[in-house]
Order: sequence, then structure tokens, then C-alpha cells
Amino acid sequence: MSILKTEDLTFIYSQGTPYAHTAVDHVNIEFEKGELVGIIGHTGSGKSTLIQQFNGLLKPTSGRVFVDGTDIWADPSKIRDVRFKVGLVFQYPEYQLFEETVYKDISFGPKNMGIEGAELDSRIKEAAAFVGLGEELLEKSPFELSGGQKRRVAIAGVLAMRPEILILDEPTAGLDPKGRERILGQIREYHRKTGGLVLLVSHSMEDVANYATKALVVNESKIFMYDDVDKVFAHTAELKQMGLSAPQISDVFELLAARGLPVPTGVYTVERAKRELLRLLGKGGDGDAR
Amino acid sequence: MLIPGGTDPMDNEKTENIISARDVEFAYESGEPTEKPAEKVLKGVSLDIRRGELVAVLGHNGSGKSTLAKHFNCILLPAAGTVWVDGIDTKNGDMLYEIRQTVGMVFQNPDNQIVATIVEEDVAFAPENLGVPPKEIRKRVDEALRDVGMYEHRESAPHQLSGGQKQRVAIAGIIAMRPECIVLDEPTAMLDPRGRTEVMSTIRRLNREHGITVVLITHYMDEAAQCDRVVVMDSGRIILDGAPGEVFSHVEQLKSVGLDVPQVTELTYELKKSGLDLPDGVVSVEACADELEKLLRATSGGN
Amino acid sequence: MLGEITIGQYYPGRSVVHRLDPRMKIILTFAYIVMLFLAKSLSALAVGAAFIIAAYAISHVPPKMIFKSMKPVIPIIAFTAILNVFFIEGDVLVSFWKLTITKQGLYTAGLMIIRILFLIAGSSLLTYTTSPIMLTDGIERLMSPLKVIRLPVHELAMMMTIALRFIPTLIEETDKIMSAQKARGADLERGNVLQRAKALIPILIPLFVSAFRRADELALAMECRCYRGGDGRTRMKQLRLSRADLIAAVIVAVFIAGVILVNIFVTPLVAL
Repeated sequence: MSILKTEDLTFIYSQGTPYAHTAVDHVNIEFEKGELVGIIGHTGSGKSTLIQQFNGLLKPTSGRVFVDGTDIWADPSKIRDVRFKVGLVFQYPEYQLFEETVYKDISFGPKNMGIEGAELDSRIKEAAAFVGLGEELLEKSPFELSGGQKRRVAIAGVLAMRPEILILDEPTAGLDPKGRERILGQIREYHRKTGGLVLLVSHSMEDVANYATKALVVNESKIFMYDDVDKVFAHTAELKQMGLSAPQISDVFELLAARGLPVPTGVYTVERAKRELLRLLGKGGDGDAR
Repeated sequence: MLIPGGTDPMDNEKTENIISARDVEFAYESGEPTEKPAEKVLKGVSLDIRRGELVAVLGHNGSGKSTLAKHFNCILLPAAGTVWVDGIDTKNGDMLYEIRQTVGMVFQNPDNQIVATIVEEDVAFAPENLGVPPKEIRKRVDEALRDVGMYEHRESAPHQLSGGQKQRVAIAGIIAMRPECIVLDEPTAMLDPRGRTEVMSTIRRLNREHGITVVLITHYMDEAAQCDRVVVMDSGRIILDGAPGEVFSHVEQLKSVGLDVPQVTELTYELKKSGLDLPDGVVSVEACADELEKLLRATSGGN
Repeated sequence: MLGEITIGQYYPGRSVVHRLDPRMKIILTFAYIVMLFLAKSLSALAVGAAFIIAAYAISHVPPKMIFKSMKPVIPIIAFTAILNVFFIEGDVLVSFWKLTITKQGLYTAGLMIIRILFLIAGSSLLTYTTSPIMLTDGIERLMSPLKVIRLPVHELAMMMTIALRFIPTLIEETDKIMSAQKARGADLERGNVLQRAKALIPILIPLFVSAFRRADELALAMECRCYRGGDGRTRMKQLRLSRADLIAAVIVAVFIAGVILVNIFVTPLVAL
């Protein structure tokens, strides 16, 4: 059974006014536990609205959302509980920190769940460890930390709720390459350890290529495609038309194929490209110079 | 070529270099008095920026690139060493506004640079501060908005604009001062891919068509690849300086300082390490495809 | 959600009223208020009412906007009306318990209600037909003589402009912060007053911190654009009085004269 499913999900902003805008248009998707899905789509495609349907922040105009088989709006008074199961980290989450210490800020989520005492303490320490925050930082004020550290505190604040489904909206926005690699590495590690569903909204094809198992392409409020990453990146022409880019390697291989060369499809990482090219050029195996 | 030597910036009457830095050192003051001195963010930087250049300053967060940029228009003054703008020492307090008119600065957050409630009034802000006559301001505002492609939005409110549009308005606001040089401190860090493209094409056009010197502080390799010259910083020092192709060929070194190389550069570098005959410094998809095509055809003898 | 609140109630248009110089409009609004208070009777008030109704008609601002502007004031009007109705001495009409309603009380209350309603309508017309920027401009230029007594006119105007500029941005940011805290289980709807106030802390603190950071960055950006206060600043947009402004001033003067005349000659005749 899928862990997260939508049925004919639709969301319209400002319905009934002349400014009405359908951000999510009759979307049907099913996610299985254990996937790490990269969600890609141009700005305005409806990605942000879609993910806010998953944790009940926005109520569907029509259609349903199922978490673990249950319609999340079956009992609207219990919608808050859904947000503990489906954790959502917004873009630039460091701007939501407010407590006196890092420890207290991370505790906000679990406390709202009613968790306290030793359980609370262990969750906080566990979450901090996941994002690589040393224990010495726990008693500091979040406002004393660097931008990258603050972001990790914010992410820890959601991880401490131990959600079954973790959604992150552009977690690497504004970070330099080292920062990006660190956060994505930690997300991958979290995913590996907990085995839940992780959804990662990203503008970077390279990041999706390197970290995700599946890719969901959103275009003009509808789902274009949901499949394994290499199958999705094979559609470079269509992705380009939607205003998305493909990893550089994809583009290179597509150019080569268009020029009639016998290159394989679905290559989008440097390692794979290197292997394939060395094989084709008769130098198979590792990179030993002749 | 790799390390900037320097001619004495005071040599020429109209200096060839719009900005020059010599042995600049800088440390931020910590809040409380401590026994050990604050860690130096700049540890002896020397650099010349020639008029009309399009230069990228590349480095990870903490490399000192933003700190260096802030020395170029007197936001910061060097603790040691000197910075000259258009031959003027930045420590010369009397010339502060002349310097700021010569070197304009665009920051990272598109929202926190726009001061007025409508676009054209914001672009007029700088000339108004300089006491430019109203009719001339109007002319400059219209020209600046056209230069950045935002003329149709001149009566829009800032919150109606996308990030890329806001940054272009910020750039227009600087151009309206008629500066000789624009320094942009990570202008695309908070933008989506479309916004980044808009901003990059705008500054390249300004550099090409109006001869405005552009200094782009960034950590994005693909942006640095579009510039004439790349200066790489790490831990408060300049470690590489040259044309993009040349700088990017130092793949190992760049990776060791926390930077990334474009996928195509890494691929050609790896293949070259494995013994294949490939040039250094491939930064574009087309160039990479061309080189690989040559190799593949040579091996297989055609199709 | 929050983003749908409109600030300043500006109703865009290109009518004559919209295009009048904001300084003149501000002055005439004050003159109109004086006009209303000069009216000593309902018949005199009718002159003022006729003026503002005509002004609305010329401005093409829909009548329903007038009622929108009056809505918030109704409790105040009701309260003052009750005070007047029950506590003014005169010819008794009705009396029960300790309360008396007199003819004079009713009249005075009626006069006052109408006066307040039309006062609101008049000042609302100002904000409906003048954009926030033009209003701030107009206020700044009108106040500039006060620079003599060291009033920081330019700085005040700059503050108003920047505040207006950032209101929509801060509203958007508040929305985002609220969503982020709700995603962590914040409950902003339940509980008594105290609990709800406490629940606002995770919203207000990030908002304040963010506002300070914005102010810092904005100030730096302004300095980099050679801002040094009001001295020596020119303005791209110049305010110029036109013939329409003078005509409007004359019209208002005529109406004020009319009110006075009605006071003296008409009111004793019709006793209203």
C-alpha cells in the first residue's frame, strides 16, 4: 500500500473571483515508502502548492489526499496530527527560528505533539546528530549561528518530530557547493537510516540526478511524469520545453546521439559517463593512463 | 597571469585599473574584548580590475570574497594595505560619495534593496540623492529601465515582481547613477534558474554594450564560466586568477577548496587522467560534445 | 490569505479628482471638514452632503465604497448618538424609567450622526483617489515649511514611504512564517486569549528579527546609492498646481459660503 496518495487532487486559489488560479489540476500520484523523490518543475508550476496539500496546510478544493491509506481530511479537527506524520521544511527555513536556544527551538515540534521528558531529550539529540550539529551548539542562541548552521537547526526541528514522510522545499537554496553537498548528504543518510519517504523539491537537475531514486516532474499544475530518474532524464527535449534544464552530461550525450554516435541513453552523472565513454573508446576499466 | 603582479596604480593619469587592491588585510571586530585577535578574513589580497573587464570572484562561503567586494566601495576599509578606486584611496573620507558613484553595489537579497513603492521611483532614488535635475533623472530612469528590460514594469509595485525582476530593478537603480563599475555580491543566490539567467544576461549585456566594468561575486561555476576572467579565493587569499578555461582545469585544487566544477569540465578532466587526448578547461556542453565526437569518430572510424 | 488585505484603500482611476494635486486635495479635505462643522442645521449640512456626493460622482468611485468606509465607525456613532438622544434637555417626546428622549436630543443626535458619516465619506474620498505615494508626497511638501522649527520632514516622509513599501512584503513573510510554524504543529486557533497570545510568539519573534535585518540591509543599500538625508535631494516627480486645482479650491469656497448662507437665511425659515 502506498504511503502517500492523491486522488483527483485539485486546488484553486481565489476561487470564484476574477483572479482564480488552478495551481493543482486533478493530480493522481502514489508514492511508496522508501523512495527518495526529486520534485522538479518550473517556477509557478504548482510544486509548492502541491506539497502543502500533503501535510494538510492547504485544504484541497476537490479530491483527496491519503496518508497510510487514510483520507487526511476525514476528520478536519485532527488535521494537526497529519503535520506530525508528514514533516514539511520550507525554503529558507532558518527564518522561522525563534527560541532562546537551539535545543528549545528543535523541541518546538515534538512538544506540540505532547512529547516531553527523556523521550523529548533523546529526540532532540538524535535530530541534531542527523544534521551534524555538535552538542556544544545546543545551548547557544540560534541567532548566533551561521546561515548554514541555522538552516540545519530548522531542519532538525522537523526531523525531531520523526515524520514518516519528509518533504523539503529546496533545502539547498542559497548555499555554496560545500553547503549543498553537506545537506544533501545528510538527507540521504536520514533516508537510508529511517527508510521512510522523502520528497525533495529542487531546481538542480544535478542534485536530483545524484541523490534521488525517482523524479516527479510537475508542469503547469499537472503531473508530466513520475518515474525512475534515468527514465525521466531521457526526456531532455520535453524537459527543455517546460523550461527545465537537464544535467550537462545528459545534454552532451543527447548531442552526441543526435550526431549519430552510438552512445547509450539515460546517462546523466559524471561517473557513468566516464565509464561508458572509456568503454566505447576501448579503454574499459578504471582510469589508468597507458 | 596566475598571481596578479601589479603596476603601481598611481602611475597613469587616467588609471587603466578602475579598482586596485594591494596587500589588503581585514578582520571583523568581535563583539566582546578577547585576548586573541579576531581571525583575519582577508590575509593580504592584491588585485587589479581593468576598466571594461567582466570578472568573477569565486569562492566558498567564508573565503573572504564578499568581504573583499565591500572594500571596493568603502563599505569596509582595509585594516592593512590599500584599495584605490579610480586612483582614489578608499580611506579618503572626503571622496566617499564620488567613489560610491563610480562603483555601484548590488546585494544578494532582491527585496532589501528596493526602497520606493513603485519601480521607477526606486530607480530614481540614486540620482535624486545626487541632486540631478528632475528632467535628467527622468531620462536616466527610462534608459536604465530599458537597459535591464524592465521598462514595461516601471509603474509596478515591488511585491508584484519576481526575484529576477527585482534584481534587475536594483541593477537599474545603480545604472541610473552612471557608475563606471558595478560590483554584484552573489546577486543570484536567492533566485530561481530563470531569474539567474535574466540577471546574468543583463550584466553581460551591460558590460558588452556599455563598457561597464562588472565584478561578480559568486559561488556558481556556470556563472563564472561566462566571465572574461575568474579570480578564485580561499581562506582570505587569492589562489587562482585567469581565464575561465584555464582556472577550471585545476579541478583537484578547486574541489579541495570546496568549489565545484561544471560536469563537463570534470568529465573531460577525468577522461584526460585516464589517458585520453582532451584539452584542459572545457566548460561548455557544446565544446565537450565536440571534443568527444572527435575522439569517438577517430576510434570507431566513423559511424 | 493575509495577502488579500488591501492597504490605503486606493481605488485606481483617472478621474479629475484622481488627478488633482495631492497637496490641494489634503487642504480641501480639511476645508470640507470645516464646512461640515460650520453647518449648524440639517439644511446647512445638506449643502455639505451635496458637495461630497457630487465629488464621488465625478471621481467614479462606486457608492458601495462609501458604505465600506463607514462600516468601522458605526459603533462609535451608535454610542455617541445614544448619549445625545437620551441626555439632551428639551421638549420631551418619550420617557421611560429614568431615560427621556427629547425632540432636541433626536435632532442633535441626527445632526451629529450625519456630520460624522459625511466626514468619514469625505476623508475616505481622499484616500480612495490618492495613491499612498502621492499622499506621502503631498504631506511631505505641505509640511516642508515646518523644517524651520527643526521638524525632520524629509525623514518622516522617508519613513512613511519605506513603511508603505514593506507592508505587502511583511504580510507575505508573516504568511510564510505562520505556515512554517503550523507545519511544526503550532495551533493558532485554539485556546483562550492568553494561550493564543503565547501562540503568536513563534510568529512575532522571527518577524521582528527579519524586519531588523531588512532595515539593516536596506540602510546599507541606500548608503551605497549615495543617500545622505534630505539635503540637496531633488525629486523626479514634481508636483505642480494646475487650473483644475484652482477651480476645485474655488468650488469648495463657494460651498462653504453656501453653508454659511443657509445657516443664516434658510434654517430659521424651515426650522431644520
